[in-house]
Amino acid sequence: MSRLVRLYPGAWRNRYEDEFLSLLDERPPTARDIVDIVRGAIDAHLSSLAAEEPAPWTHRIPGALALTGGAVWSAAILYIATRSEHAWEAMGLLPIALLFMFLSLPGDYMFAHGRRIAVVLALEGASVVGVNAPVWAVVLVSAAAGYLIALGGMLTLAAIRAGVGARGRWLALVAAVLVPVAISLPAAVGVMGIREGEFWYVAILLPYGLSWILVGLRMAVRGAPTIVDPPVNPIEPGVLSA
Amino acid sequence: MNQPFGELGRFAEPSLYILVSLSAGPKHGYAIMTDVEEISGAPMGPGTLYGALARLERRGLIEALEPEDRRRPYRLTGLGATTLQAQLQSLDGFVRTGLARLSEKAP
Repeated sequence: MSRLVRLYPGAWRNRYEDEFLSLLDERPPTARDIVDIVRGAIDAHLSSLAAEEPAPWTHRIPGALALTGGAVWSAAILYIATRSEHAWEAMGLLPIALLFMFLSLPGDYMFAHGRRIAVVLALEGASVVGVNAPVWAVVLVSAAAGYLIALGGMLTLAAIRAGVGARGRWLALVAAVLVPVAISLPAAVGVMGIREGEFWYVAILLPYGLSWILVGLRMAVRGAPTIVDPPVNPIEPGVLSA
Repeated sequence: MNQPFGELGRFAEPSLYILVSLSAGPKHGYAIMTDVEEISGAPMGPGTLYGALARLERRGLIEALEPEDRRRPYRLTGLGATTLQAQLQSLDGFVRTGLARLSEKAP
């Protein structure tokens, strides 16, 4: 049932999903109903598109920043993976990509989620302290945690802002951050050696850049208010009008 | 159909049935659906029901009440009642005219 409801736009689901699923529980849909639901979903998309006022151009800035960050990150990783000489010079592009990604987060969002962001920053601070600990295992765990919190946290916050659902956010987190960290750990502890000319470990960083490109595209299409825009409720019932 | 039903496109007829159903008192989605099926003799799909409910709510003809578990009842607003009455009177005039003309033609 929930698969059928996912065909509807996010704003519609925020308002009607619970009661709609309750209705489908009470009266399981027939084949004819399924066609009717699909038709209703198409109609909801079309009617919300017709009702939405075009977003001001400033709403495209966060998406463009996220997209640029993802593109710079991916290009740097691809360059490193495909060139043998002087390739590591491209590593200098990664902090620039991170800066673009970080700048896509501010705006009304940072004010609305200030507490959540403060917790993330505190954890990141703890990991920085841990990296300098005298015990090697603490250093390793802190480094992995710092990577997860900083990169995973930023990607998750951007995905929330882009309106990606919980399942999509977890998928991005696992594919772009958790799996690369899990693969990298054996190399980091010396179980697997990294020899010069082997760039497999570089390629595992690529999903992070690609995830930001997808999140940036979605954010740009949906529009996200910046710090100069008045607060906007993204699930304003008005978008549901015909 | 007249305004505002004319603006509702394919949802005009289902919307009228929903308003008639709610004129008897607040109902949630499933109750509206079964009631409409009883009134019209034809099933109303869930997509059509919620497409019409969203439009009626947007136009202020119905309003949502506090949810009971996951069900959310709807009720007719004052504007909805006035609009429904005007619509039914218009249809009544249309039906009377049609029937009168048919009886005039009858041999």
